[in-house]
Amino acid sequence: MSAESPTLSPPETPRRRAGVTDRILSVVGSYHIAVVVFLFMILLTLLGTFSQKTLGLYESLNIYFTSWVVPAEHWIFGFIPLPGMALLLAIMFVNLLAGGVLRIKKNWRTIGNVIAHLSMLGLIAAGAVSLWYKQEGHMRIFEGETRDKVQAFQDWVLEVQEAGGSDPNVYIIHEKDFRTGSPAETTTFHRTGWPFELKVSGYQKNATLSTTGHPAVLAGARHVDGYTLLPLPVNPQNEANLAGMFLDVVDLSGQTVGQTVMAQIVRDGEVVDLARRPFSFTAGGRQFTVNLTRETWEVPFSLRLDDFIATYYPGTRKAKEYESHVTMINAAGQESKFRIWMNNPLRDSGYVAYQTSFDSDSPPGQERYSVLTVVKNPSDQWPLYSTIAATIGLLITFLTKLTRFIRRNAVPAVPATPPAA
Amino acid sequence: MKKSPVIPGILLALVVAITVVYLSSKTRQSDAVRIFTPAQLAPEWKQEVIDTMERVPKTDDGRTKSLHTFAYYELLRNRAIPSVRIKIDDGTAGGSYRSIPAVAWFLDAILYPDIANRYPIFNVEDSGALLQVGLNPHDKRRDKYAYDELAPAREQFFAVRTRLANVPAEKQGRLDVQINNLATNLIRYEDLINFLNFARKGIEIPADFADEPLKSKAGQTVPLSEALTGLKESNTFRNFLVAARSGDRSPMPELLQRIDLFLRDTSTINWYAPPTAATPDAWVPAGGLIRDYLTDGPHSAMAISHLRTLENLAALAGDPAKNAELQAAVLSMGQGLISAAQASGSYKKVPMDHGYLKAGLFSWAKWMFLLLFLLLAVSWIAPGSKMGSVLTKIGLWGGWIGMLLILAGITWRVLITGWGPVTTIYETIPFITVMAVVFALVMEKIFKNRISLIVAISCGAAGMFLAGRYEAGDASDTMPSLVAVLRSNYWLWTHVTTINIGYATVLLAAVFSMVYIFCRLFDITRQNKALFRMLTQSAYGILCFGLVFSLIGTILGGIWGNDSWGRFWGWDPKENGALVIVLWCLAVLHMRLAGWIKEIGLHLCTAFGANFCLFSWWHVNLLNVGLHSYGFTQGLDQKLYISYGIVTLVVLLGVVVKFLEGLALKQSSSSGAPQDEASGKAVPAA
Repeated sequence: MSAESPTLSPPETPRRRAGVTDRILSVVGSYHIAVVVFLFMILLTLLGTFSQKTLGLYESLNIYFTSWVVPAEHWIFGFIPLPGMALLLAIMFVNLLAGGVLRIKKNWRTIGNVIAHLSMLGLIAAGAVSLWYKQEGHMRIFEGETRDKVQAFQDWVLEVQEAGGSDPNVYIIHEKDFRTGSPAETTTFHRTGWPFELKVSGYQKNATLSTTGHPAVLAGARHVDGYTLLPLPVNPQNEANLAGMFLDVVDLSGQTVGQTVMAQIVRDGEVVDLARRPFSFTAGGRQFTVNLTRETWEVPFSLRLDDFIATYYPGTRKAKEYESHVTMINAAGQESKFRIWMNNPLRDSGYVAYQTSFDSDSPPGQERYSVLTVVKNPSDQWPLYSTIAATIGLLITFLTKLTRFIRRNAVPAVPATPPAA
Repeated sequence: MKKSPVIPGILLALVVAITVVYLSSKTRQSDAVRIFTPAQLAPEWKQEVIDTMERVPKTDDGRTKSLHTFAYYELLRNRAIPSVRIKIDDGTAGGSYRSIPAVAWFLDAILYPDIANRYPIFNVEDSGALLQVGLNPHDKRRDKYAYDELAPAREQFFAVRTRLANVPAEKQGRLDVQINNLATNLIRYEDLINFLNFARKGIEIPADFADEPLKSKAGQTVPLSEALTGLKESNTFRNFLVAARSGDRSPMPELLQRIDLFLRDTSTINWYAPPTAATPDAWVPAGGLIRDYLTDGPHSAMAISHLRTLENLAALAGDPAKNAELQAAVLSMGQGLISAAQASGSYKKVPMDHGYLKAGLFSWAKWMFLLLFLLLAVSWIAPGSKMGSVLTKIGLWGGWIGMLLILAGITWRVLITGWGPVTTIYETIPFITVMAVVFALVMEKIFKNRISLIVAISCGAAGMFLAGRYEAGDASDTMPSLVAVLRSNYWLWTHVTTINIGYATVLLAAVFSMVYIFCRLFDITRQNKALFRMLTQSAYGILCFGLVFSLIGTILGGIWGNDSWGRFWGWDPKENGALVIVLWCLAVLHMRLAGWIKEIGLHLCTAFGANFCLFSWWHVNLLNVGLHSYGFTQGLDQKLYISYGIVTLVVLLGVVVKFLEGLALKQSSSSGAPQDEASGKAVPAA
């Protein structure tokens, strides 16, 4: 006899079917896999949350939440491997599909469960689409200014462009391609048609420029044009890091035609000089420019900031509300006016523009610019639809159970404690 | 033989009583032994004056509140209780005591700073902090000090404060943090006592001031109001103003520099003149009156009149014989400020704000739940008796009334702020408490077995104690103005309430499971399978509700994030905390479906879920990382780890119980003895 009292209704027993498919579904969609995945997700979420204190959100995302497998240096005790959240969500998707949708016994009692499981599938799918296809950046617009470009928060790129030549394209080299394990490594880039190779070395995630009088230069560190690259501590807030690198341009004969060091001059945490960018050089008789910048892209419309209004709580500089009055100009030149404020973004043309920040250094009433976050996310509203479905599904399930439970327990009062012996 | 619940009941009642006494002693310390003679005391304020001044409006952190609320939190910040009690040596045996309400203390501080400086209002947690700044502490490690005891080390306090400015919070030493807090409190207190410096001291007209109409007063000290009117009419000021408006950056005339010093003193507490109907948001401190007068600002017309009122108060306070006049003048000033605020339309919520703190509904609820708990504990002594039945009924009705008290407090706050019931960490406590109480009382309605009732009463008492402790520890207005992103009633009423109901239900399920574990530990319900059944059904059912609310709340939060920050999910600590609760609920329910856990396993897991709830509710706010910065808090690490430890200990107890029962089962199986169905224990053969 079991020591447990059988007080709970037994779980819904899946209909047994013969055949390989059913057996596969039975294994793939088992509760055991679901439980293991849930427990690993909890562990990973906790690790990823605490790591944000030291590593910052961006690094934690890369290590725990968008990875398939957690990098070895972050394994538990250094030797117990961990799956990444992407892998766990993929397993959960398959498990849910097999166990919670395909294999589950379908009748009026389980309809709520099926709906809830389907909504979770929608949610995971929304996450995957967002992870792979979402574009996000910000647009800083001064009053009266019109902009159609969005700059990324995180990713640095090298933009290579021919100046005044026949090729108007801007070629992008992404940070992941020039971010090397060691500053001593050199990465070479070449494209058909380019009369040169770009050699990136000394890449630093966060750095500043320093003059050659710096002790590092005196100690033999590389310097170009009187400047050297001085590494700075990596900020956990990745947006605050300013990348730096040495750049050598070599023509096809192997001769160096240009070299520079690219970074910002940072003093007391403030960027004080951007004069080192972009870098111009001539190769093969053609002139080119290279720029180290946050990734920038164009959107198929322009936004003009007509007015920006910030209101503050009386006697404070604490913003109560702030809003941007903008005119959206589409590709056909048609103008539409919108108001964007906190919790009320502008949704149009597949893009969403959010009120993020503003020029809070200027006196009240004299704010000069507004900062909008612009996002393109094909799965923007999927979570909303999933939530509605999940709510309906869970309510059906638990209200049905509650009704049964109350009916079953509609019995006279039961004393909790027996009379004293 | 059946086990009686008497001993555990009495033990529990004792534990609660000791806890109450301990927590009360932590909240309300004994007052300092400093004794005043009647001559050393400020005249006592008439009740009429206090009542009026309590209702005077003040804007603080962007919110218009009553002066009582402001003074209440200023005192709470300094001394952990919102009033001052001093001992008077009046010649009688043992002396007498005087309680000084918050507003009376405020009036004493601005009008009688020399006397107020002797009030023991600064709470020093560890006298070691005073040793570090070179002061001789009292004998008691934790005691209250007067300003004039701390002021000699003023420079040392501020030196530590400056040093700590660049040290991350987690690397600051315990005593350093205390010194820093004391320095902050000293600054805020000095803002009060310096407020009327201009009125007490007057201003000396520079000896070389040669303009009319102040020329004849050169080298003399005159009231500020007179200096201002004279200055404004002088050519010196007119010429300076013209030059300044044309971009000239020449230094201010010396008289203006002297006035500017007062302007700062009188601006820091940000109190005095209410807005006018024409400028509804322009609350102006006394210093602002000076500025408005000189620059023809919104309060220019009434500035001199206001300043003269304050000068008159200071003059009357300086003459003990004119106390009756002073009381009348303060009363008149208070009534005038209230009338002005009413006329400008900015007074509407001040009476509600004042009434809320005075009513102290949460405090009433706390004591009510505690009393009910003790009554119910007594009822266990004779559960079947008439007395037991009466006490149970009282407990049941009292539970609903306690719940209504909390609900009324929450509603009152909603009416004051105009926002949903939960906008701050503090507000999560009464809300989660009332939800837990409601759910538990509903369970009691279903099962009628008194266990849910005692759970409801315990949750109510614990929750309201936590609210009181948090308020005293944080010691700042619990209704601050909201950051822009939170100003959405739609999301505050949907996401925030839902997620907090999720916390409440998951915690309540954990409490039911802990009761189950203790029941098995004490074996008090060996013959009562219905109780086991009820506890399991309750924990399971509430956990299911917890999952529904946590999941929907979490996803709603994602949708809000998608509308305000541009992403549905950002792995922000606050989001992760909510996710962990959802995942844990799912894991527990699926573990049961998979057959990994049965009855006690379910309870162990549900009880352990309290840790995840604590993590999400409190711990993520201590990390100070992420976009939910409005919820950040600090200084609770130790308490939180103790809470984790207690929860884990209870779960481990359950594991031990299960293990021991397993052993007993094996032994009884091998001996062939019959077993009890519920606990699995061997029972004597009939």
